[in-house]
Amino acid sequence: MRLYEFQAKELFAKHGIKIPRGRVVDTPEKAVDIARELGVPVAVKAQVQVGGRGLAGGVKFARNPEEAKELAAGILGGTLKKEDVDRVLVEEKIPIEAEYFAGVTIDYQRKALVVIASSRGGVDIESIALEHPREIVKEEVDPSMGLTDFGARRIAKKVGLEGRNMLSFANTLKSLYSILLGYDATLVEANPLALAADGSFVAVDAKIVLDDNASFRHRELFSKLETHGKIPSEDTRLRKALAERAEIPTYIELGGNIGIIADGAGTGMLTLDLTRDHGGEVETYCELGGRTNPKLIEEAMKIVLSNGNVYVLLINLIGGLNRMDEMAKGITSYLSKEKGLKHKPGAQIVVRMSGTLEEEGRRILREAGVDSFDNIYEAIEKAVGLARRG
Amino acid sequence: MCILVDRDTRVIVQGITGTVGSFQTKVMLDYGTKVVAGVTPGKGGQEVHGVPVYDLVEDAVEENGGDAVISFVPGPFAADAALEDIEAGLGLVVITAEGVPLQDIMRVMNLAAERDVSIIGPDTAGVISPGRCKLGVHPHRLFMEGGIGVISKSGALSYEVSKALTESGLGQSTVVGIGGGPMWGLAQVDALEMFEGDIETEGIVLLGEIGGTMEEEAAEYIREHVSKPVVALIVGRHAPEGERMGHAGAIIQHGRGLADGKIRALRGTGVHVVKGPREIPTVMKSLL
Repeated sequence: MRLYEFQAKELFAKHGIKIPRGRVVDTPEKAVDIARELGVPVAVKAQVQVGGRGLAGGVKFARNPEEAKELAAGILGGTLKKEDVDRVLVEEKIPIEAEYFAGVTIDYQRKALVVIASSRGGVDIESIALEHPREIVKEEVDPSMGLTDFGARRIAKKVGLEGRNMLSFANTLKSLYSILLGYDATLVEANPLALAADGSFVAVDAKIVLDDNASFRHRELFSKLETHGKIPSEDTRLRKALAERAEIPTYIELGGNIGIIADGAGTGMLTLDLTRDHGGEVETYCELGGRTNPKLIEEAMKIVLSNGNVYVLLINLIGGLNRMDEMAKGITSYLSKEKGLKHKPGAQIVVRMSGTLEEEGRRILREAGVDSFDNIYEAIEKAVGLARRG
Repeated sequence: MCILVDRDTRVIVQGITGTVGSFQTKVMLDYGTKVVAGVTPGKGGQEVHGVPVYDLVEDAVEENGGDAVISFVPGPFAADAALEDIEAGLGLVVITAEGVPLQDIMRVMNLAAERDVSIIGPDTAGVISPGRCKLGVHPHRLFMEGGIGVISKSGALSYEVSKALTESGLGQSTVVGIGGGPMWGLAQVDALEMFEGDIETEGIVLLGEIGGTMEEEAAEYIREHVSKPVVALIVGRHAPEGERMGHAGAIIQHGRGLADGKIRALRGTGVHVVKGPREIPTVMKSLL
């Protein structure tokens, strides 16, 4: 989960990293109050989780409180790269001497934590890598020592800093590192990390990505974060939210008329590819992670079929861990309640079933009057054919 | 021959008393896998399908021996369980769990590298050498003993492809699921090296997917080191940018990790890349 900038900054401040003074608000009126309180030119920044916010117009500068109100009014209630903006961060505009980049992340290939720093901050790391590849310092952290003080100083020196600035930069790196460890983050980044006129470093922007797998260790933080999100009203997002609540691992809408439910990511992607190859247009990609759970497939069917664009639902199951008897129970349970559910009348269901306990699964389906295929291609051809006629 | 496991591999099941662990133990035993012991903390002294259960892995190994372990321990505890396996001296650790915290699994990988232990997974179906040993959750009736080595990130995709191979009379030497990433123990390159060195394996099927650069590295490795025919299938050709397709590692970001690049890299080294499972046996037969 990626934190909002203001949330990341709260954690930065807690760990001794300087951030601009400011506050997050949800109305233009409150933006004025904060700007007035700060008494200096301010930045008004949309709080969104998508990247590329600056280029998309999500960051504006105001010389006075009235201007801050106008800018906030222009940003709030709108969308930025399809994401709703319901909060802005109003904070002092820092007079900047130079912009640096400082980050800590996990290198999956090297299986190590890496510190990344550069004197070319202010743009994303990919652009720095493209334009100034020699000016990126990337150092692996020795797991037996962790990031040492001298290691952080060495990186600061490589970035080209000296004296007090070098020490201060090294301290910031150490703080970023301890945030990464302490909160199970996969990425912690200050960019730009501004060298202010007074010689201190200030995190003008802050990015933290938490490891969802580790949420059980940080329940309080995660629960606090989740209460910020509002339930989206638009249909697609509602279905996405429902899928998330039902703990369906993957639910994506693509804009066609065939819904896919598969019991694994690899087989899901294969089903998507082959359906497209056969001329089918896929509306839903829904993947159940390969674990047995009749409730899960029932919920998935309910959500996918509540989408009026879905003419045909193609269920492709090839279970290992996932037991076909359990899946068949989930499917028939959905069908037995179907009449009470509102989904597109006449939406067709095609089932392909193979793998662990498939005979038992097929028997359960047959008794409920549901045919099933053993061959994936036959099932896909059938589904694509039905969708064309639909 | 086969790789990683064989008829004589002594297997320990971690999390053997759970619903999944106990069911899969039964299936493995029926298949002929030598499951010698199981472990569930707090359940020491019990038996599951005749297999003795211990509180600690080291006790299980001491009393029964053990070469490999398959772990059904859930994500939050899976890394600790794997550390216990490494400490107990087991040489091959299969981690089936999804949702293992990344910093935890990184520690496991680092220690495993230091102690020369092979980790398979996490988020994997495991390994099967048809007819000899099943250290995994595969629907084994889709598999058949033979000469094709299969490497897959996805478990289900490896079932699909093995089914197609089996139905056309091509058996498998070993089928390895390496897991959904984004951090892998055994990588495609490692499995390629093992299959290249295995006298029984005549051809190799590489099942990759979008995201990351592992398939590109595999292509590079094949160019230099693999003489056996390789047929590859890359799924996620029609996946949208920026969406995680279910495996933690399966995502196209900023135009990177696309199927096209992987397919091009593999074709560039003489690998036959197909679009779906049914072409695999036909192409493989033409190459053998």
